[in-house]
Amino acid sequence: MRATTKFVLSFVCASPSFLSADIPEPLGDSALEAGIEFLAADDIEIVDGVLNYHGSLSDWDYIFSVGAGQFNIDYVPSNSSPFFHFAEKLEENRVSGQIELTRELENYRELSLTVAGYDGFTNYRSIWINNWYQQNFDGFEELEEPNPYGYSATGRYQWDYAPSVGVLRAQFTLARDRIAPGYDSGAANGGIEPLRDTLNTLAWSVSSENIINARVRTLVEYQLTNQSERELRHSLIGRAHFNLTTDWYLQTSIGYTFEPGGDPVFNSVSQELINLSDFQSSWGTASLLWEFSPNLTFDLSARYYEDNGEVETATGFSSAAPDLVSQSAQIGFRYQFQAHALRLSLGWINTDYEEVDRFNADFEGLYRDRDFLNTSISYRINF
Amino acid sequence: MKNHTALFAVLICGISQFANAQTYQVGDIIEDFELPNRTEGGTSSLYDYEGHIILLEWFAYWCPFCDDAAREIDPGLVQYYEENGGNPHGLPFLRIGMNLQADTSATVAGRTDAFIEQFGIYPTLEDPSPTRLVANRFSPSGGQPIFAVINGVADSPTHQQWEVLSIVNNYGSFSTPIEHFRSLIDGVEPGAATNDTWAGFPLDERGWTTTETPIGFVNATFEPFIFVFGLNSFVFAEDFSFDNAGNWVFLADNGLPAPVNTNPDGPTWAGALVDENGWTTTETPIGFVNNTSAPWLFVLNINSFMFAEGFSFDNAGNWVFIAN
Repeated sequence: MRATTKFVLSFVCASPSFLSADIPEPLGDSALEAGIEFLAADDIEIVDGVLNYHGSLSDWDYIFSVGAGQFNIDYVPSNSSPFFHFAEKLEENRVSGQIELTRELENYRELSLTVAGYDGFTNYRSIWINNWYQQNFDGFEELEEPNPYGYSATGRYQWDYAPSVGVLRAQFTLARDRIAPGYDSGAANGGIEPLRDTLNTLAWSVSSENIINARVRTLVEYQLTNQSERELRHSLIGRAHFNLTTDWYLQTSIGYTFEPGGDPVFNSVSQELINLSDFQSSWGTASLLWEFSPNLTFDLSARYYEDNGEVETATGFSSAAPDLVSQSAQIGFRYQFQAHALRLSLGWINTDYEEVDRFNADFEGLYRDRDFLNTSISYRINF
Repeated sequence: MKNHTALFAVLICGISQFANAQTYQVGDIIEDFELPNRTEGGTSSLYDYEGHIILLEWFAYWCPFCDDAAREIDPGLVQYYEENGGNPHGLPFLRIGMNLQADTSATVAGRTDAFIEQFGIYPTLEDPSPTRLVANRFSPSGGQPIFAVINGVADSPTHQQWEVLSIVNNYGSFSTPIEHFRSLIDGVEPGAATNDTWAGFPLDERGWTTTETPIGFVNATFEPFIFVFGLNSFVFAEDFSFDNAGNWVFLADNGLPAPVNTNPDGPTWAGALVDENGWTTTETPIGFVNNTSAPWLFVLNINSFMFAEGFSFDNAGNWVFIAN
């Protein structure tokens, strides 16, 4: 579990488009879609907005996206934190942009290229940990003002090997993230040294989507991720969508991720090696859709997620997350009238962490159980 | 400038002293070192603290485990041994802070001072990174906190003086660190100097002490006479008497620090009961001479200080002190 927030957001953000996948869109060459999502726990508030423009030009389809988000966090240091740490309110903003170009090729083939970038923290965990370092090493000349940003490029190749029945996709992503670094105390002048501040990521995936029969559609996907100083991460995802009746649909998915622990990691604060366990996570989702009328669809979704944390046998100071179990549920509806579509959803997300131990006790306030309320609204117009 | 010069000199001396030094192991005899004393100014050497069981505690104020340790060591060791008058054998315990963080800015220096004040780490010596002159001999790979228990007691029957009793790197590795330290500290027994035969005071013709500075005796006109000695500069009482129940009553000397009253029932010490022969009837007699003639000598266990269990006379007629 690298970032709970990321997971939460990706799930929540993904839900509307995921759910809308089976709902026919009004015809039109162009579309404008705006959405906003609000996620809140007792000490964390996250708001994210996105604006998408879909269009076509010659043989190309394109999507321009811009987004902005804000994190508001009540940072409360753990009782184990050094005595001078103090509670404070944190506010961080993020902006992002993305361009996706897609071109249909001959013989049922399609090529897509996406470039994206962002400026700002991407999840509350990073903000929380960064603030711990900022407070802990306040007064050191070497302490940097964090400036996280990132950019990525993704290429996707799709082949409808059995038109309208079977699709194969291959995708490749190259990403670079500038992150807020941790700090080491081993500087020759008695000060501190920033640690790694850049993550390079290469990710590959292949997937196959097939219509099994008139009622069942499946997707199987394998992802391989190689990130700086980490072992290869393998993910396997399966989806199955069922047309239960003419009005009811069931969408299910499961996923499993595995990353070997690899070599122990040298810790910056305690200067000790930390043994990393094999990371494993698994999740499953189920969504029930009821097409009340051609214009109105209701949905009910649930998701379960668990992982075994990042560190199995810590022997030194660690900011690693303990084991996590997360559950969520969401209800929503989508109303469509002519070229307009409106979607609203309301959900609950629970995060249940194992207790921190003495090695990551400073992050007790970060890895505590939370109940998030999340709401989202999006509007789309085709023209 | 003066302070900087002194610090520089100490560092240079320290560097040459430790240049080819070996890493300490448990059982080694720690060499003396001299470091700047953040608490008192100037410099201090380890051997200045002879006579104590010493915990060297290397810390950096920003280090979470150093913070955890400091929180526990203050009540778990410092206050604990203060309240108990040292270890079970009466040997004093001393915590010496070893600051690893150089004062690279006013904020950093202030945080270090606040840390020391917060956890009462006095004295604190300076052993800053990256040189870590002494720290690197206990933990060459760096890191903090580091702890070393050192026996500074001379002639102990259990440990050599300046013997390294324990080295602990990274406080978080221990689930019960305080118990670990206590077991080592409690295991140090007093040096032979305390067990040496004490010449005592010469007796006069009446069997009374003839020392020019009598430590004290009772005013009672009948046996037994009771004396409390000033042993190893411990607090002593100057006067004793009997209460109406025939118990000995302890009166503190007004000119000396008043001993803590160990009697939970009242301001005076009830003393031990005397039997018909004038001997103590307490179940745990504190001690008395073997001599059958007056005066009877007792050494009391006052304020948890060490006490003697037996006395006798040497060939010259002096009282001889035998340590418990």
